[in-house]
Amino acid sequence: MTKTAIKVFQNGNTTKTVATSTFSAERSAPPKLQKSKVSWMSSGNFWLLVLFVFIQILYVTMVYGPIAAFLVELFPTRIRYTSMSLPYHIGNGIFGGLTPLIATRLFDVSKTPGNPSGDPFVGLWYPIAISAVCFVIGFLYLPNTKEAAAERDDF
Amino acid sequence: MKFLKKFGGVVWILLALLAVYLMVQQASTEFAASPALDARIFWYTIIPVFIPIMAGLGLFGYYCLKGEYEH
Repeated sequence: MTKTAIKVFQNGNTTKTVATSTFSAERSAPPKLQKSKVSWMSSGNFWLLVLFVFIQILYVTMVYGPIAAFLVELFPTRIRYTSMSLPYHIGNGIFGGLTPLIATRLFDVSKTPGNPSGDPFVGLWYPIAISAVCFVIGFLYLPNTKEAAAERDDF
Repeated sequence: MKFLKKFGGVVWILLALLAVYLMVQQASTEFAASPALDARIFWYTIIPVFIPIMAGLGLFGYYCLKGEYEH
């Protein structure tokens, strides 16, 4: 027996749920239930999302261009490899890699008796907090690398 | 600016200590509240990873106080 339910939301997004129950010849055996769910966005929302992601990727590429030159000028040659590699991998692997775990945990904690469905945006506070700390440290402590490298006489 | 950098050093050290304290306190509260595996898996992952990072933040604060980042 197959049941299909299609929900269309106010914003145009659609969800289709298909539930299939397979009954055995033995009446005492419970039916085997399989569920599948497919969601898709309305055309307008989809292209808007593509635009937002494109804009964010544009910012990433604008940073990735000059950052290579900027970072290598921060440290002398003797320690340059370690000083670039270690923070990069800690940043990507630990802070980036643990983001889904921490964001999911924050969402779980945001569910209270007064708000059982939780706050879907609470997980954003983690990358916001890390970015804010990085901004303050970068603003206060990073030197003008061209002058600092020239002082060291080491490019 | 120099004063701001030194003051920042104190802030980073205190932030590192506070973060470790809050993590350990929250973990022990959740462990005592329920024996569920979900909370344990989460804190057994987070605490060993973030304690060295907070130690690094404290070390950064110490060097800020020493004036190592004056240019």
